[in-house]
This record gives sequence, structure tokens and C-alpha cells, in this order.
Amino acid sequence: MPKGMGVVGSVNPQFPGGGARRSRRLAWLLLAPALLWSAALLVYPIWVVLSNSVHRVQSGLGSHHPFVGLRNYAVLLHDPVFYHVVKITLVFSVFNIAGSFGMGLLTALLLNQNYRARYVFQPLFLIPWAVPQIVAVLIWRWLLDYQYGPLGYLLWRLGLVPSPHIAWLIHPNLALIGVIITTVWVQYPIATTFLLAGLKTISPDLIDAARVDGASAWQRFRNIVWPHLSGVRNILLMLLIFWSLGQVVVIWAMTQGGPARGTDTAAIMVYIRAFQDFRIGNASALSVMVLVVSLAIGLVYYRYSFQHARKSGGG
Amino acid sequence: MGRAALWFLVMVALTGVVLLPVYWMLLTAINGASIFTFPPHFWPTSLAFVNFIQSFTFRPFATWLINSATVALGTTALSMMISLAAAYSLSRYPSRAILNTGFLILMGQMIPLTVLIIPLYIIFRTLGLINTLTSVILAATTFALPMCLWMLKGYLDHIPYELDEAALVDGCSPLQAYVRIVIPSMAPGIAASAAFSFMLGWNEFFFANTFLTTQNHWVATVGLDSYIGQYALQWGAIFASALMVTVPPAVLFFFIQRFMVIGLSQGAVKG
Repeated sequence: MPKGMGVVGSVNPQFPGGGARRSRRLAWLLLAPALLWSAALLVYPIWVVLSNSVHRVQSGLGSHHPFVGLRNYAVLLHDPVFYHVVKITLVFSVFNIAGSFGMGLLTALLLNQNYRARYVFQPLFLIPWAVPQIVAVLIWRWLLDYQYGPLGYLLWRLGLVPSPHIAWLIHPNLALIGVIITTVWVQYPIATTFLLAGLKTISPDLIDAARVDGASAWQRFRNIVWPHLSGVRNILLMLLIFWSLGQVVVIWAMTQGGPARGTDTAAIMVYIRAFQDFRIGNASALSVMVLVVSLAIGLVYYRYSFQHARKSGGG
Repeated sequence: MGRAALWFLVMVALTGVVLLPVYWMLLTAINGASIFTFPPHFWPTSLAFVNFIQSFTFRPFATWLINSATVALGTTALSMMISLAAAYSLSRYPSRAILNTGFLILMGQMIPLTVLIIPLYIIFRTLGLINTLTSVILAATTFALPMCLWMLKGYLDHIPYELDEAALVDGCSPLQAYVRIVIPSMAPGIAASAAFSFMLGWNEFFFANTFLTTQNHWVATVGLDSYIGQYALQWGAIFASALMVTVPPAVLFFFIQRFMVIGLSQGAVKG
């Protein structure tokens, strides 16, 4: 892994005068604040979660918290809500990832068609990324409003729905769709940027040659473009999986996991169990599960991206 | 119709769909007509810039903006100081142990908010930091730090070591060489990561919403969230507020967007 950090370059200075040992001390001294910060606000909190997940903790601090082993986990595994939440998390993640990736690919391919006009359209397509997530939720709640929402009205005018009043955010399944639309809207520009960067590395000569050989647009995409995107695509997908599992801001602000738990993902359930039900032990056990899955993805992501960086020449 | 024209039409249509929400915010913020009409108005019927003034009068929006700015600046100052120091170690002394430590700090980015919210709440309550902006600054810095560190390291790697050496020959200590000579020459990288941490602090919602309990301590994102789902309010003024909250990070975003992608992909898209 450390060798994989190809971005480092080859500099390994030995400072004159000071000597290697003094330089090493200086290096650790300068790294210390960042290390201590991470230890205090990342490592220690994770220890707190792990510890809470094996204790009976009803309201945080103060009282006696008996050790209960893996009971919190067992309780979760016998809780029907847990399985519902796993299902919602999967549905949310799959559609959010597919939507963000699909929109990203579509916009990236379109932007890659015309080099000059790209400079006009590319910033426009990136605007949703620049909007704070809370503002995005505020806007989308209005667009999807049952009574006055313009989206229902537009869909109705286009003849796609029988009534302009759509019960987005009132019906559990429609609420999940509403949350997914909003999340895709704030997220797809990241996919656009990644995939466009990948598309730029494909030599136009390669595409032209295929065209001369009579390859159709689909064949060119399938046999040249798609394989070329593999590196960027894998990293992007890992980021999207990770962000889907961890998404709390949009869901919480939009529906708070409701209505009728229709948008209750694992990340939201942790929050509800801890801050509304005050079942800290239960919430911590679920937290640990989310953490394990996320870190597994994170590890693969870093391994992959650093290896890729090394292969493509590093610094 | 030619291919180019078709392409152009598709692009315009797609842009329209994608930017409808932003248009809706702008429209509602300046429209004099009520938002409570059906069918909805798609064009402003009259202009009401008074919305922007009203957004300050019906809730303590000015206080929220000042709190947001405090959190954003605090996050920026803290994460820049810590990551500038650490980036020097990672770039100039890249021993295996140092790099592994840097990698562990980077892994911090991969911890979901929801996992940290419970322990941080417990820790901050013990320290008496609940309902203070400090708690939000500390939490936001934790998330800004890994990204800033690796962005700055990437920048430092591109500054030739000869620059350090020249300063050392002139009698500077390594640290003096870094502060006086190297840091000024990496100004664009510093600006980009400072902008990143500012945005992260300004947009922070989840921790702020949990830690800040009284209205006067809220930041702008928490204030905006309190409007969601409420009908008996002046929505023109609320969207004017939302617009004002959006502009500062949006401007910074377009300035640093390129660096963020490089940071996230760690060189994976290099040709």
C-alpha cells in the first residue's frame, strides 16, 4: 500500500546540517496535530460507538451501563424494522447509484460531443453540485408539493399523469422516489465530472478509426469507450455506494425517514434510534454495521485508486 | 436537421430539466405573486425585492448568517493550520511510516456522518460544548482535514525541492524555508483547500442540527431546515434567504471544482 502512493514522487530529502534524525523528528512533530485530531475526533469516537454497542445504554451518560455482550446486535437481528430498513437502504442505494451514474454518463457523453459548446454547457450541468444540500431539499420539497408543486403540474400538462396533484412525500413509495430524485440531482454532477475526465483520455483517432471501419455508434461505445472508462468508473461507483449508505442530510431534511418508514435507511435509523428513541446501545450496534460496510468499501476504494495512480505513472 | 443542431436541442432541453429547481428558487425569491397558487406561475408576475429585506425581519436570519460565517471561517483556519503542517511531512519526508499515518488520516473521510454523530454528541456534552458553534467547527474540521491535507500534499509535490534547498543554503531552517519560501509559492493550492473547508463549514447541517439547540445559536442551514414543511410562512422571503445562503459556497465551488475532483480521484483519471 505505501508504495502504491505513487503521487508522492521520488523526493526523499536529507536536510543538510540537521541530519536525518532531526528531520524525522520535525516530520513527526508537524504531522502530530493532524494525527492527534484524528485520534480524538475519529478513533476515540469509534471506540465509544463500539463500547456502547456492547453495553445497555438507554440515555447516554450518567447512569450505570451494564455489559450485555452482543445482545444489542441480537435484538437488531430479531427486529422486523431492521430488515425493512435494510431493504429501503438497498432500494435507495441501487436507484440513487443507477440514477447518478446514468445521468452522469449521459451528460458526459453529450458534453464530449462538441468541444467548443462544452464550455457553455459544462458549468450549467455542474450547478446542482454547487447548491447546498439543504437548499436543494427546500426547493425540491416545493417542486414536489402535493397542492402547489409545479412538477406535478408539468407532468400532468405533458399527459404523463392523470392528475396534477401527486402525493409525493405523502405516500411512502412515492416519498422514496422523491428522495432519490433529489439525491440524484445533487450528486450526478460528480459523476459527470469523473466520466468526462475519463472520456477526455480516449484518443479521438481511435474512435475515428473505428468509424472508418464501419463500427456503429453503439459498437464504438461498447467496444472502445466503455472499456476505457473502467478505472474512473470503478472509483466513481465505490464513491457512490459509500455516499448512498451514508446519505443523511437529504433524507433527514426531506422526510425524516417517513412517511411510515418509507425512506428509513440504515443511516437514518441510527439517528432516530439514538436521538428520538434514546436507545443508544441499539443505535450503536447498527452504527457499527454501517461502519464496517463503509470501511470495507473505503479500503477497496483507496487500494484501487492508489494502485491506479501508480500504474498511470503516479506524480 | 443536422447532427449539431440536434445535439444543441438535446443539450438545451436537458439543461432546462436540470436547472428547473434553481430557476424555481430564483423565481420564487423575486416574484411578487404568492407561491400558493394553482396552476403555478412559471414567470414572475411582479418583482418583489422586498423579499430579501423580509428574510431578515421575520427570523434572526442575520444572526444565522454570522454564525455560519463563524463556523466556516473557524473550520477553514483550523483545518488549514493543521493540514499545512502535516502536508509538509507527507511531501518532504515521505517515509513509509509517515505515509501510512497520512493514509490512516485519509481513511477518516470514509467514516459516515451517522456513525460519528452519537459519540461526538456524547463527547461534546461531557465537554459542555453542546449548543456552541465550537462543537460544529470541531466536527466540520474533522471532515475537512483529510481532503485539505491530501490536496495540499499534491500541490507541495509539484513544487521542486530545489526551492527548499535554495532557502536552506541562504541559512534558513527547514521550517523557515517552508513558511517563507515554499508556502507563498503554493498560493493557488492553499486558496483551493481553504475554499473547500470554508464550503464544508458553511454547508454543514447534520452536526449543527443536532448540536445547536436554541434558535440564536443556529447556523443558516439549520434555519432553512426549520422552514421545511411549514405552509404559514412567507415563502418569497424564505427562497430569498436560500438564495443568499447558496451564493457564497456556489461561487467558491466553481473556483475549486477541478481540485475537488483531483482530490477525490487521487490521480485515477490521469491520462
